Amino acid sequence: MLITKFLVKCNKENVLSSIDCFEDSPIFEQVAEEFDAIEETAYEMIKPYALFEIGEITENIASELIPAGTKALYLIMTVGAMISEWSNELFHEGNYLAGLLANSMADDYLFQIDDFVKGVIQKECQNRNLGILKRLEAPLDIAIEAQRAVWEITKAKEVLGINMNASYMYDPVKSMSHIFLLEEGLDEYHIDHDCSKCMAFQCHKKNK
Amino acid sequence: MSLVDEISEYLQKGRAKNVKTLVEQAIEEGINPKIILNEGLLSGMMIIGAKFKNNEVFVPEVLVAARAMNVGLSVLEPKLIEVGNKPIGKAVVGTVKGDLHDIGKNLVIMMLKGAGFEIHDVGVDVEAATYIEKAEEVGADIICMSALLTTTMTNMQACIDQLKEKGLRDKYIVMVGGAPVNDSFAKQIGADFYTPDAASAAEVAKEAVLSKKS
Repeated sequence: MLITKFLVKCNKENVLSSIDCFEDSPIFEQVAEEFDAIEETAYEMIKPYALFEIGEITENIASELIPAGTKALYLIMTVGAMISEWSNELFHEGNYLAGLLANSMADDYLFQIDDFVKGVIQKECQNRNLGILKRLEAPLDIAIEAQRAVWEITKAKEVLGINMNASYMYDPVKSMSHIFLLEEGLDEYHIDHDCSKCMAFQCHKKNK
Repeated sequence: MSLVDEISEYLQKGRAKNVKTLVEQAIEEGINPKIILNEGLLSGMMIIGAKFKNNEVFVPEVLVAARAMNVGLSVLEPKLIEVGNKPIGKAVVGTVKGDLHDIGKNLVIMMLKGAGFEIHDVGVDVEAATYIEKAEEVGADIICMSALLTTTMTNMQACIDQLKEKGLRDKYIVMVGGAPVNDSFAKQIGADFYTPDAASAAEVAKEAVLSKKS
């Protein structure tokens, strides 16, 4: 299923705090004004998509804990390449603050897509009498090769133009994917990211 | 307070318009462009970099200071060319093969500019040979490699290996950085320096290049 419409906006507070700018910062107003100044253009540069497919865990990513054949939902999301290119341009022009804000807005938008899509996925699973056992994020819960499996199963290259390199990294860089383990008849939806297990120690959301 | 000190002060506050006006005034008053650069703009950036390292200021303050420096530099650059000012050193900077992240690299470039380096940005997903070719082409002093993934940081080794194979290892200072990189990894692959953030990268690069040239 391809999702192209998202009822989300960048959260200004999240974006500012992600670059260590808080209300008591001496330049908070200046940074907030810069956010306001670039916000509209940033939305023009963000091209959000989410794509998911229901299938099974393939042999190449299966393990003792995650056996091949387990029902699974493969999800990939992106905000496109334009926002990153624009951020890069701003850096090259010497407009560093706007460049970093654009980069952080892309991250925030991507995380918000992730939140938004949860509702759609849960509904789809309910309609199919499927529960969600677990959310798997590479490389923490599953090998990094899982990124290739998601990319192949969702046909992300053909549908969204997302490329993947030998390091299993997506291009556009502001893209991410997860796998959800499913179980027939289960009435539980363990769909959320687990901050307590996450290795992103610098993440401002984790530190909250 | 002298005019160049004022430039430094306003730069630290990120007041780009004031910096531009003061640099123009300093040029009109006949102050040596090298003094405006070193004691005004670069001195301001070094102070803000040191404050960042000491957690006295945060990333946004550094960014607005760097923008102010850039504005001042754009006014000063023609005068610097006239007096034949030379950069402190030349740096080739890029993100390693397989890695498409550019934000860390861009922040390092910003701080290296602020330390007086001439920058040659080779971009992202950079082959080991490309770093070396660019360094040879421009007569670089330092090669800076960034990686954000554990799967790509190993590609830093390839550049160092190729430098050795070509007999060029001692010609260049090699600096590495990025989220998964640390000091022991830098030592293991034979890099000269690891720095944990962009401000430290600029400081260490400056010290290393000056020490090599002296």
